[in-house]
Amino acid sequence: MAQIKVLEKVLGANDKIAADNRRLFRERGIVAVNLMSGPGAGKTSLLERVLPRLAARAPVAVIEGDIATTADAERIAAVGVPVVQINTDKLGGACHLEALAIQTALADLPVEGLRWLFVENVGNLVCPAEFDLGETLRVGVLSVTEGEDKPIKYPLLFRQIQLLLLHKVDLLPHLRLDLDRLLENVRRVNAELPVVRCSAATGEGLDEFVAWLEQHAAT
Amino acid sequence: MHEASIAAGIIDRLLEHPQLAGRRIRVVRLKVGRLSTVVPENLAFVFGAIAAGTRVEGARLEIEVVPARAVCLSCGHAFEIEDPIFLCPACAAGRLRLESGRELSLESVETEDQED
Repeated sequence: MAQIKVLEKVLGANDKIAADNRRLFRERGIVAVNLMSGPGAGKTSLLERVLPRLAARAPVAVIEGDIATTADAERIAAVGVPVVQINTDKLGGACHLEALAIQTALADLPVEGLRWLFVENVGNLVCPAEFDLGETLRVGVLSVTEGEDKPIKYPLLFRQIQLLLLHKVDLLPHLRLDLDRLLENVRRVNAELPVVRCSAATGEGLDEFVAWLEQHAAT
Repeated sequence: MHEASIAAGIIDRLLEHPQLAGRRIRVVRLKVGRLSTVVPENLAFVFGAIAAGTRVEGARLEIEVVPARAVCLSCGHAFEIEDPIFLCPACAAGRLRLESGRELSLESVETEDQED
């Protein structure tokens, strides 16, 4: 047998397309936000509340990575924002989005003059963390109904994000959640991760989220 | 099960690699970091299924798991991360530089000798 050195990154093909996406975003002044969470954390509900605020000042679009339905895309379209649905079952029943899907979706979006592009990743705390999409910012959503241990069970995702939205905080009075333990677990995996407590239901924390986005859009 | 798309990516790289053109591949060596989201057993399983019918069919996957190592940016202590706790065991600070653990790379392959 002959041994041959290969030395390639396994995700090299994805990383190359992600780099192309990143270049396109930079050249056009688009801020692309990769929104990641487990299923049911409230990504779509947050977008429904936040998109109109951003859209009042600059063009916004959304790429929806729901697995097999158009339900989320319909909710986004209802707030008057252009949206492209990626049904990941077309990509082999995938559990995450890859850079190629973003590049393909961009062809169907009004990128001219676009400022904000939100990518709602597939609800999953494992797989999306591994795949660079070329995004500008990575934001995680964790709802308080998911318990205290998610950060230490899925450390990669919690280390990859630059902001954590602690969602559904309006439910805290009804839960037996040890909030201090949850925040300590966040700190143990990513000590410098900023956390914004928010609720799409009450609007709490949404101004803070928008302010964070605008502050980090330039960097 | 993103291992399926990762396995497909590895097999594509192998089939497209100019040095491997026309050769049957017997062993594929990978490095997988402890902090990657890849489960080696799952990867080996889907790899075998996806390789069927190609020059990679029947190839053995040898996976070297790379430990997660970090250096504390506050006190300089170097350590291995064994549990999902990214704090310095010496000074408890959380600003770390990861030295290894995110690897996901194809290292080398063994091919059948070519017949002339």
